[in-house]
Order: sequence, then C-alpha cells, then structure tokens
Amino acid sequence: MAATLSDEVLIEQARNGRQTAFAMLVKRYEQYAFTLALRFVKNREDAHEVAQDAFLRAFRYLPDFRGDAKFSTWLYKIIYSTALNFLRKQNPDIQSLDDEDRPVKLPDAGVPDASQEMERQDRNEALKRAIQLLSPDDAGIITLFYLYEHNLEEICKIMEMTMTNAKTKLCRARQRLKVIVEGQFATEIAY
Amino acid sequence: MDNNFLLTDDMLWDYADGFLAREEKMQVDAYLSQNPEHRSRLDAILAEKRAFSALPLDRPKAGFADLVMAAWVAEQSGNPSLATNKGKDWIIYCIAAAMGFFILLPIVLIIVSAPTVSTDIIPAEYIPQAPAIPWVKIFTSPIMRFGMPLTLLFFCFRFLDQYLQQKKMSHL
Repeated sequence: MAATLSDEVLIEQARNGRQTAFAMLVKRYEQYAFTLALRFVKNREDAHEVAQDAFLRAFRYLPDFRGDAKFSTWLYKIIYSTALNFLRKQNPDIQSLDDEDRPVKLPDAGVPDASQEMERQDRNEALKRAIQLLSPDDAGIITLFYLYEHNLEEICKIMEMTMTNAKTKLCRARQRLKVIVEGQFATEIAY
Repeated sequence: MDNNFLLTDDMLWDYADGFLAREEKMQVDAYLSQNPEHRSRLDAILAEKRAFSALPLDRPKAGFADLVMAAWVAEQSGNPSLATNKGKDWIIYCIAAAMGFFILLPIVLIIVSAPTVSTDIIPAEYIPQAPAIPWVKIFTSPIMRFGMPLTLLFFCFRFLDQYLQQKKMSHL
C-alpha cells in the first residue's frame, strides 16, 4: 500500500524523480511543517510561505540527504533556517530566533470580554496561545521536544546548538511558558 | 541521602524529561519515596507534559500540498507558467484547429456541392451544375491514403500526450 511506504522508500523514489513520492512526503509532513513554521513566524500566511519554501529547499537538496538523521529532523532543520531567513528579511537585526532579554509579553487582561471569550476556548487552544507568546526559539524548542517528541540530540541538529545550550534553552522556555500560563491562562490550563 | 537535598521544580522537570544523570535520578527517587507529599508536584508536571504532547497540530490551508507540488513541478521544468497550465495552450489550440479542419472539411464540401434549389420550380437546364468533385480520386491518391492517417495519428498522439501531462499535473 502506498500509504504505508516508509520515508526511506519515498525519499529513494523521489530521488529517482518520482513526483508522487514528493507529493506523499508533503502530505505526510505538511501539518508538522506548518505547525513548526507557525511557532517561529507567528502568522498563518507567513507560515504557509515558510513551510512551502522549506519543502522546495528540502526537495532541491534531497540528493544531499545522507540519512544520518531522520528525514523529519532534516526537514525541521530546513524549516528552522528558512524561518530564520524569513524573519531576518523582515528585520535584518535578528541574529537568532531567541529572545533572551525580552520580558515575557502578556496580553492585556483588562479587556472586558477577554475572559468570557477565553472561557469558550478549550485548554489546548489556551496552551497554543500561551506558546504563541513565547519567543520563536522557545516556542520552537517546546514544540519539537514535547509535541514532536524529538530528543535533545535531534533538537541540537535542527537548531544548531550544543547539548548544554539546548537543555538550558528548553528549561528557560518552560519557565517562560510557566510565567505566561500562570499569569494569563491559569483558569483555562488546569492540569 | 543528603539532608540538604532540595527538590526544585526544574529538577522534577529534568527528571520527567529524562535529563538527570543516574545518581541524580536515584536521589530524586529516594526523596520522593521518603516524601510522598511531593509526588503530586511530579504528577502535575507529567500531566503538563501530556498536555503538550496532546496539542493538536495546526492545519495548513486546503490544497497546500498541491500548491507546493505545483511550485516544485514548475521549478523542475524551469517554466513557472507551467504551474498555471498556461504555457502550452497554443499546442492544444493547434491540435483542436487541425482536428476541426479535418472533420469540417468534408461537411463543407458536401454542403457546397449539394443542389440548393428544388428542380420542381426551376427547369433543370437553368440550374447550374455543381462542380464535379472526384472524391474517389482524392481518397485513393497516395497522399490522402498515407498522409492523412499519419497526420491524424500524429495529432492524436500529441493530443494524448498533452492530456496525460494535464492529468498528471491535476493529480499532483
């Protein structure tokens, strides 16, 4: 069955120029790619652009993919660098997607209807919104580690950082998320 | 166990994420077994981890994969207009015109050669004679016998090729 073909088989077919193999890889990873791109660029339209560019770059360089890492790891690394380039185009001062010195920005809680509106949101939506408030790097590392269940070693490859740095960054991202959740979404996100 | 051991939330997160070294993990295990009231902190962290993992993925807009593939095919062909199927329209038009010509020509000739006025009203001698078309001669000539089927065959293959390419594009 075509639907159960492994990534390795599809990559091999794609390398031989089979368009349907490319299409199946896109279908398989479109949601992952889009979600990760959205975590970095924070905007659906931009996320579409970044995800599409990342897929095209991945296909272009597919012959260079040696299979040392998982295809997903390789693809997410491309998404990360594509998002970084995209954000640099918008703001040439950006060096990384991290925001070490930026204080956590909480949305204005004084809007009268805000709480009512948020009550209608489910917990997942609130958590997503909390992640949206993180810096792109923090949101990315949390998504990669907890949602995509990549281990730290893979995250180091994707985000080009050392193991210690990745661990510190993940810890800091968690702390920042905690501040946001406790400050803004405590009622929605009750474990 | 060290009496000064302090179990922080960060340490519990590292424990839950599997980042602790073996000795540290054993320390935390021992602490939790001696202080079961702290177990709830770990349970809360595990629940938070589960909530992260259960977050639904964001869906791209409908047809996103098709857009990516169209862009990829266009890039491969080196012809961006292929993505919109506008680049080779003239071939389709030419084929349609050629086929239309071959189909319409005999009909037009039949109409032209047919008598248009009833012989009941006007005497036959006043009716101009339709030009005699040597159909048999035309269709038995070597050019028509071999040329026309070959030309039709050529255009049919070109048409089929175009059709298959279009179909391939729409599948992607």
